[in-house]
Amino acid sequence: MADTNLDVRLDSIYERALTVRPRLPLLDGIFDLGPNVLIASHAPHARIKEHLHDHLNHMHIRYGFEFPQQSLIGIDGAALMVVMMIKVDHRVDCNPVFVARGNHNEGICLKIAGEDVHWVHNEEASKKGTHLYEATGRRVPQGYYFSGFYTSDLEERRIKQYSKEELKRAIGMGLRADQHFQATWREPRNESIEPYPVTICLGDDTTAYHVFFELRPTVPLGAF
Amino acid sequence: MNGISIKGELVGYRKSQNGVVVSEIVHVTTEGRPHGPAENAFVEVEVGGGMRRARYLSWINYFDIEYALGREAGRWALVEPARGYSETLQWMPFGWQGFQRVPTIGDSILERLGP
Repeated sequence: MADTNLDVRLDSIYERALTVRPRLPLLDGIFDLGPNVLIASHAPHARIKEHLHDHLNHMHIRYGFEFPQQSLIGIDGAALMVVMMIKVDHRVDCNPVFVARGNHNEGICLKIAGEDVHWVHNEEASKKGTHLYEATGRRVPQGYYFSGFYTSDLEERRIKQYSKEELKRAIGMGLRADQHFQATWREPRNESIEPYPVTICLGDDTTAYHVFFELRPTVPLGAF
Repeated sequence: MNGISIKGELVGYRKSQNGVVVSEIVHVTTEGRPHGPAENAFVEVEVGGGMRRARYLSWINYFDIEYALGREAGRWALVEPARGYSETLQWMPFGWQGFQRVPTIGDSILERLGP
């Protein structure tokens, strides 16, 4: 007979959480960005592997994140989510997740279930991010929108959910990694992009857990 | 005008309402700067009378073509697997007067937001 005292109760939606926390980037040097540079606009430059818009005017966006060691109780699997507020004239695209620095300023990619982690655009994620942001009284400013992503297959065409076991193996005693994005003009222009603050939401497709944070072109001293 | 040579892979087509191919979507695989497109760029090559002309797109992969197909059913076709592509054309990186924009990630979100 089961001991009901040992049942795990999931009364609150926040009891079932895939917890992720934003951090300053861990790895200096990838794409030549120093530790204090989270947002940087670049003119077209030479090819860098994994870089998506190096030939166009673009705004580079990066941050770090941490999945602390966690039980994943109540979670059978999940796709990771990133949602990012950018200007309506822009689109933003996402690099794989970097866990170390390789040769020539290239990043070494996080693998889950034996494959590099990639991302696919998803408008449901965009809607979810907008809803979560506005649910607490904030409003998306005129001229901006949330662009959303879920983890994907290697071709970046279909959402990929990871199983609980795959997530546990990747997170282990805690997982720290960096994420890079490049925003560019939706219609390419011969015009630089003035750097602007970017609000980001991290979460997943399975639990209610999410966290918002803001990146600024110049990092405030308190962040260090 | 002298043309430049580009090399890449053909990944898709854009069609008119009558189903006629009006442009080709090419993933560039050979660096062509400063007089041509960059390696790894996606470009749209207008197919018409005279020398072809091409411009940069902000697209990055097949998902963008699938997205365009979702927005404009019947007006786009994927070429999969990609086919080798080599062409001499006029390179106009930021387009020309009256070029037709392509559907791009975020269109439907921006439609909902309104002007």
